[in-house]
Amino acid sequence: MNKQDLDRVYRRMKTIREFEERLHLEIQTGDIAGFTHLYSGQEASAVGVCDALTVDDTIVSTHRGHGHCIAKGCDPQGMMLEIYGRADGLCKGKGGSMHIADFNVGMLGANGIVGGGPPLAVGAAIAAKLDGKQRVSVAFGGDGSSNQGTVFEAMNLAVVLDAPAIFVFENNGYGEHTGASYAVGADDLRARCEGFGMLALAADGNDFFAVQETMDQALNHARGGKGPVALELHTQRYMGHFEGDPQRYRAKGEVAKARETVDCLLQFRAHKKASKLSEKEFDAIDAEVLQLIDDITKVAQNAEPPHPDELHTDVYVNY
Amino acid sequence: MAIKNIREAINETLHQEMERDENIIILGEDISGGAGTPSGKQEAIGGIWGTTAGLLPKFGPERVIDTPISESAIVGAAAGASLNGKRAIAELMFADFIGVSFDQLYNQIAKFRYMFGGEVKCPVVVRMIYGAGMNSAAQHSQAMYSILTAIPGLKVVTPTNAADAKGLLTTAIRDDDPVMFFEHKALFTKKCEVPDDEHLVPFGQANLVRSGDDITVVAIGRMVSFAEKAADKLAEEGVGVDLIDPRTLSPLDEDTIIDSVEKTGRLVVIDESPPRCSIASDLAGIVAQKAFSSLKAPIEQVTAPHTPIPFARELERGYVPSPPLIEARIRQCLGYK
Amino acid sequence: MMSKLRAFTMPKWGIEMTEGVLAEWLVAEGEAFAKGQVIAAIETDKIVNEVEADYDAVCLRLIAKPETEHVVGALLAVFGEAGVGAAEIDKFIGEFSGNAVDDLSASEPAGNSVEEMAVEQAVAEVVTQPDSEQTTVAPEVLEIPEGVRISSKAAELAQTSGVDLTELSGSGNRGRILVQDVEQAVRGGGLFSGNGAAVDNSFTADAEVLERITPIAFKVAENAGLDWSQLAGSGKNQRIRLRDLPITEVVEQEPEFDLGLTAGETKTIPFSRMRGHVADRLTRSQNEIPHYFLEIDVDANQLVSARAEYNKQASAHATVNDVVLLAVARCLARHQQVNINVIDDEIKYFADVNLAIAVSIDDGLITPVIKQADSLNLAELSSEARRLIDGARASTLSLADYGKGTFTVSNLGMHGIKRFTSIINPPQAAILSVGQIRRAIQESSAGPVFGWRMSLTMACDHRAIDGTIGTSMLASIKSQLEAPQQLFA
Repeated sequence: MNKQDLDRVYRRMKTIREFEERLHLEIQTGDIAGFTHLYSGQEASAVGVCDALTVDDTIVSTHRGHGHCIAKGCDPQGMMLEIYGRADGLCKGKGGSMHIADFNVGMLGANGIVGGGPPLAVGAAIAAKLDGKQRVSVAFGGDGSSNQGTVFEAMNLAVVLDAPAIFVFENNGYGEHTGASYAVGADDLRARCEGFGMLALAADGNDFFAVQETMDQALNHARGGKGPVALELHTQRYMGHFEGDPQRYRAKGEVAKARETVDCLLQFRAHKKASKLSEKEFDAIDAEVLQLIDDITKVAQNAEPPHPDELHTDVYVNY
Repeated sequence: MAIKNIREAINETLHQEMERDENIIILGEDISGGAGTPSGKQEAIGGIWGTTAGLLPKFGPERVIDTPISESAIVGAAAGASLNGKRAIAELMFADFIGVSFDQLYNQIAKFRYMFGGEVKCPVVVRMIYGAGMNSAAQHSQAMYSILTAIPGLKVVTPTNAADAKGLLTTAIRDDDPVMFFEHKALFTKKCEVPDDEHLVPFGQANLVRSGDDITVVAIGRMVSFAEKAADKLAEEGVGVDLIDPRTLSPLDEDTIIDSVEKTGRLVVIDESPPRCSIASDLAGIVAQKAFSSLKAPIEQVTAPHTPIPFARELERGYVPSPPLIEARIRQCLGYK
Repeated sequence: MMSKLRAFTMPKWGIEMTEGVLAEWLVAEGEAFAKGQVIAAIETDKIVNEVEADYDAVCLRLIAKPETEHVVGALLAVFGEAGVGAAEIDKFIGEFSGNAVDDLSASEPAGNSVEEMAVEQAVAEVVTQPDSEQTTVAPEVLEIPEGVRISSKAAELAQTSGVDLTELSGSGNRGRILVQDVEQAVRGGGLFSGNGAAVDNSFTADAEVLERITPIAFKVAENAGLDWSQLAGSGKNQRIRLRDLPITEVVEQEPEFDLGLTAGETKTIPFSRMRGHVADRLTRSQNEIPHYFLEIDVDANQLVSARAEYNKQASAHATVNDVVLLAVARCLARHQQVNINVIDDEIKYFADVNLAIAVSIDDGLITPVIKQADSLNLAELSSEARRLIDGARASTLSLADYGKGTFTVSNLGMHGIKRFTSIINPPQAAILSVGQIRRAIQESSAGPVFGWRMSLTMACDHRAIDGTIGTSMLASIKSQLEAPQQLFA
């Protein structure tokens, strides 16, 4: 990767981090309504996967979708406005945190239903295959969604149809407030995916370069017409299941330790493959990102809510 | 024009539309059948209802997709493809199977456009086969349309004759919104004249099957032909019936129904689903609210009972509203003073 | 960048938390703390949790006292950079615009108040319900047969109306008898059967047409020969509905009588000769003749179908009025006491039935006469009536056409009038007012049926015609019209 590439991916990861950390603070003021699920800690996974995609490739995301949105190229300002429920949000304030989408960049939507996305990704992959343009569709999910019947159905159908779908399981160890070691019956999620008859890979989700390498392998396979791929990425979640989760189920100091030892941003800065960027340059990116997040937050805080008439629009194309 | 039954009309429409627009794909269980079997026959059955016969040889396995028995994946994949420039037709072998695909229907498909701020469209058609009358018992006979009609974002269509089946299916395929298309299994062999060429029936336009001044009868699906039989009897006695087939339950042609009740003052609604939270109760509620002063009698709701659908012939006959029952209930409404 | 002062507010944990107790401060004013350091203990009804700092800062002001309760989002403390002055902190607190008002005694957010009022109302209604139950004590006298389920109001009604509960089938849950069931029993409602009249139930129209007009409105408009193409619709997508058709407004579109008056202007015109004549005769009639009125309903089912059949067979255009005229003429021949003139103190009887028909013309009302009407058949009478009506309107009748009438028939049925009374046309002694033939529910041996019905009202001069004579005449007309075969012979 050249310097420009390194700047891009680090900036994306840092943007996700600061976006989420800022939301974590702002939510406590009560200004942001509803449920918000933050992605802090998992940035290398979203950016590692999405940076390998083209704008024509599509992704479907989860309730913890802000990271995937930013990684796929959604405008952070539009997202922040959406999360604040503003008229100029990416979805006019009608979707909110759990339903951010921007089809212009191939982001087919976060999803409030665990396991809701993978069938849609298979459909997108079928469309891609018909169009014959080697596009792929990625379904993000977690260890929690890996137990849903819809996901099983989607994986099987993708295998049956040789659909260029990539099922990414971000295993952060928790499905909501329950441990994966309890809820995922198989000892090895990757191996379970393999059991569906598809290429299944695993990687350290905290290491951007490891994710990137694995993703390249997956893309070669899927774009080469060899059918779907599953990816298990081991990572961790710095925040609760949702904002306001007191997280009494976590070990004392667990998150603090993770932040110190396996943090994807720290690892990236220290990685030899990123040595083309100096500490000073990294710091400069950090400062720019912080400024950006501060700016977009203030804009969102002062923006107008949707007009009441918007309640009734966009239900149908025509009715 | 030629005489065709509903099965033939649907099959013909699928052929004509897939010919016209190569973006149309169709997927479901046994759409062609036979894949992965020892015979290796590609076109084993052409759909268990015969409605998809001949599609695979003509359009190939890329566009005519036999799926595993995975309703969530069928409906979800149809939706995903439709979000990506295709027009996907998903087939549920029985409407009862919406249960195993329901999240995709009501949390996903129905809400994309709204949740995503009006920026996307999902032109998917979910064809599903429904209805009692073939002793298919409790899990293969239900008319599930009231559940789907209740969901904003979905359109719901119930053709009752072959010409409408063609016209409404063509409209459904070309419509930019998700359409739930209900085909009654006991009506597949019902015949009438069907235009040979392209034929479109607009959504939200009820069919006035026959016109009369004494009473308004609104019937859904198979109940339209049952109501016609009852209306024939009453016509012999000089009673004029406005028989209305809404054709699409969502959008609903409320204007035509209210107009008729304003004229006749009496309303009978007939539906083969159970009575609670049903299309019948919905229509009765709308009319009670919007034509209250025109009503001369309580609204009669002729429905199935509040029970699962029984298996035994004798029991099933008692479940579905029969022409004599419909006739008696119309007389009751007319006799109210 | 973050500002130098930051609010520390009551956090929201879990889905339902609305308030919490600040159990303890674990940081003192003026003390600096680091991200991750425990700074407070907060207690909810479910858990006690230690709160870790989300950032490095100095504790500038502790606002909430330990062991006090605060709503989610309430300002508990102000943190920030060291050295910020007290005035600036006060200003920050003053301007703090968190979402919550930290006053647990204050009312709920305004958004809830309407709902709450509704709930309160509903609760109040429920509370008062037992009282109203007590006041409507089930009737003591009425015995409710065993096995009969009935609402208390229905039981009350059944008692006052004397309905036999054993004969009643209830429309309520599991056959429970409701008020509407008792009402129906009283009113004689029941299963209905028709009368066999022809029904035109055909309907066809193009989908494009029906996008602009509902099928119901379309058929009504077509039958009425109405041009609906320019109408404004009130339905969905401006679709034309039944209520948009100018069915009653057709008459009002052009004033029938126009003197060209402008606002504020008046104009006086003396009675014309004819109006003076009409006024004089009718006033005298009203003042001098002791009128009484008899009204009867006629089952017109056979009349309607027989007339249709006759017109079809004979390619004729006999109107309902023609048939009524013929029936009246034939009855007058049998009821000579009605076929009379009253002049001063004398009654004048006639061998001939000279039937006058009331015809409205531009400036008044005239009554040409069908001579020897009882001797005509329907075709003859029909053509004579047509000649007289057309002639009257065209002012081409001769004096002979207005000869001495012995009875008058006035028909406003074609204008939709159900029933009306007329003033006797002296020296005649009776006049018949014919109303519209309309759809109505009628009694029959098979229960109530739909059918055609017509109301007749006869005014008689009591000086010459007693009630029994008038009644007998009207009954004859009714039976003639209800069994009209002879009239079409």
